[in-house]
Parts: sequence; C-alpha cells; structure tokens
Amino acid sequence: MNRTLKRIVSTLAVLALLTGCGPNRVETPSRFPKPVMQPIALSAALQVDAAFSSYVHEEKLPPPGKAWKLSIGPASVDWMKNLLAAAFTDFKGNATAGADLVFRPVIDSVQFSTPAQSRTEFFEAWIKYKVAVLDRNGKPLAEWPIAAYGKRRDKSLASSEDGMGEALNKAMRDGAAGLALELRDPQRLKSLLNAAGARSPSASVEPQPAAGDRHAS
Amino acid sequence: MRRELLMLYLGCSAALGGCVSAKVEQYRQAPTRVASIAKGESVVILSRGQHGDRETETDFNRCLANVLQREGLPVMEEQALVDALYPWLEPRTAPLNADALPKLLDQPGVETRIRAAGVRYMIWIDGQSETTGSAGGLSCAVGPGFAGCFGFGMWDKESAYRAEVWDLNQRSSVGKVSSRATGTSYVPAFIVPIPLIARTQSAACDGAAEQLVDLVRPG
Repeated sequence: MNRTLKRIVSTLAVLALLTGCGPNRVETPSRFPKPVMQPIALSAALQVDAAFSSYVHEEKLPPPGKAWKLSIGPASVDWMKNLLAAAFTDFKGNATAGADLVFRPVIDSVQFSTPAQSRTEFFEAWIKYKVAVLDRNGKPLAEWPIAAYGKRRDKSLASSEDGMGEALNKAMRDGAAGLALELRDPQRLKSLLNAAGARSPSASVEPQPAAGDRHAS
Repeated sequence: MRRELLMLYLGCSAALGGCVSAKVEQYRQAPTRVASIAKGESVVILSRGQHGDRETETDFNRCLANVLQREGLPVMEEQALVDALYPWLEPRTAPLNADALPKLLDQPGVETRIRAAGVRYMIWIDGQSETTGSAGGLSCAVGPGFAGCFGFGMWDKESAYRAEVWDLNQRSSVGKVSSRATGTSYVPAFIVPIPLIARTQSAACDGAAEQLVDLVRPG
C-alpha cells in the first residue's frame, strides 16, 4: 500500500515537472458572432492553403519566459468564413470555381506579449494578415493588409493560456472589423470588378437587406 | 478563540480602512432637460478599447451597473450588445464621439438590432485606477514556531473616469460625467500586517453613478 502510494506521488511529481517544461499551448477560441452586414449581390469564395489553415506560431521567450505555441490558422479560417458568408449573398465556401470574387488570405506575421514582458496587466496579440482579392479568372484585383490587434487583462483568468487565447480571439475580431470596413462599400467592389472587366453577367452589387434583418424576419 | 481574533482583525481593518480619505471630484455637462428612460428601455455601459496600454477595469463597469440597477435602471450586458452589433462595436469600428453615432446607426441592420435589444442610452466609460506613488516597505519572516511581518508600507492611488451618455433616439450626446478619487493606503505591520486600503475605485464609481442616475433617471 505504502509502495503504491509512493509510485502515485512520484508519477504525479514527474508529470508536474514535465507539464512545467512544455510550451504554453494555445488554441484560439473560435467564438465569432453572426456579423451585421449588408450582403453584396455577388458570389464569393475563400481560398486557403494548408499553411494558412494550420498556421501555428511558435516562440521561445527569453528566460525566465516560457515557450509558446499559438494555433492561429483554424480560428482565422472560421472568422473569415463567418464574415464572408454575411457579406455576400452567395458564399461558396472554398469552392472557387465560378465565384465572382475569390479571397486568398495569408498570415504575414504574429507577435504577442505577456504581462511579465510588457509590465502591464495585459496579454496582447498582433496578427498581420494580407488578403488578396481575385476575380473569377484568378486575376488579382486588390490586396488588403489587415493588422489585427487584441488584448486581454490577466486578472480573473484561470491560466495564462486562457489570457493569450482571449487576446488572440479579440485580435481576430479586430481583423474581421478591418475586413468588414473594406467590404462596407459595394461601389468599391464594383469599380474593382469593372476595372478588371471581369463581372459575370448575373453579378450585381446592389445592396440587399442586412444579414441581421434577413434572419430576423 | 482564533476565529474571534480573525474577526477582530478584519473588523479593525474595515473600520480603519473606512477612515482613509478619498477625494471625489464630479463634473457634469448636460442640458437641463434630458428625456427620462421609458419602460422597456435599457442602458448599456461600454468600455473604450482603443488604447493599447490601458482599459477600464471590468470591476468598475460592474460597480456602475450594480448601482444603476439598484436605482431602477435596466442595464444590458456590454458583451451582449457588442456581439449583437458585431463587428461594428469593436475597438476599430466603434464610434469615438457622438458625431460618429449616426454613421453607426445608419449601418444596415444596426438600428434594428439596437431597437430589438431595447437600448436607449449608451454610456461610454474611459479611465482607470492606478498607483501613482509608493513608499516604505514590509518584510515578513517565518521560523520554527514564529511568523510575522514588520514595517510600514504606503501607496497613493488615483481613480479617474469619464462617462459620456449618448441618446440613441436623439442620435446625440446628452451629457458627460467625470469622477476622480484619490487616496492613500497604509499597511503598518507589527507581527500582523493591518491593511488600511483607500477604496478610490469604489468612491469614483459611486460619484459617477450618482451623476449618471440623475441624468437618465427612470420616468
């Protein structure tokens, strides 16, 4: 009995030590509300490659800081799909064939800071996206840089991973706000398409009822 | 016996802490006649998130919400409205002043959702509490059969907040309130430390809440 107890205690001690040695792993929460957008009467698709959808940022902070492993890709795909689905009347997901507009994002860089580093009360995260907009023939129409920032106060959080996850979630919401501003003006998209001479005969950019209104009725 | 000593210690701390001074300055800029909140309408307390290095504490907003609710003002939860209007109340897109309010409300779908939520007034809070100076020091030691602290520590704290109230029916600002409280906290320690805390944030909250209730008192 005594031996069993010793084994349990030593196993737990080893596990605790190993947990302390590993990096802080953060899976960014994919919590994005339904956007209030006026859908543009165009079809759109999101084209992401594996580098984007599984993007992980790894960084070892100088001692006494720890290593961090931040999963950015999956939640980034989620917020972009969520926003584009509300911004266009016909969002085709990743089916790019026949879409009037194709959005192809990349993550340019990621930075973060912890309260211990910045000597503030905040976890902070910066994500620099670049969103290329292509027409139905794959011709580039525009490239929008979106610098997203989020922060979360460290008080009342269960762990530093929670704090960083919340900061990243806020950064992605900020990224969504940035992309929403780019898409707010349908006439801007119209001129992009007209300039490229690539509008499909059926495509129109006349405003439709807002997403919130459509679903409320 | 231990329990009684603990109660005595906590009682002394609370009583002496109440003696620590906090100075509250209030400022209100509002027309004499503001439409009172009607039945079924609510207010929402929102924090400014545009500053990189600071943000109003959620404790402060919760304190304000509690006081307003006690006074009969229904308060909608901040995150619920931010989510309902996503992404138009994120730090990047939220209007910075009342002049930009019509642009927000004219955003397709936004006014419908605000009406559905029954929000009449937006109260924007900006400010924070911070330690402005400290002096003294404490040292504690633990030995076989003995533990204790000796020394004297003190620090100054300032809590400064501004609130701006926007009437969503009128699409304009109806008043501004500011509240500032300063105080010094002390921790004398002779074996047992006795914290005498100046509750500046709470004082600033009470000052701001009093003015806000007066501004949009239920009709």
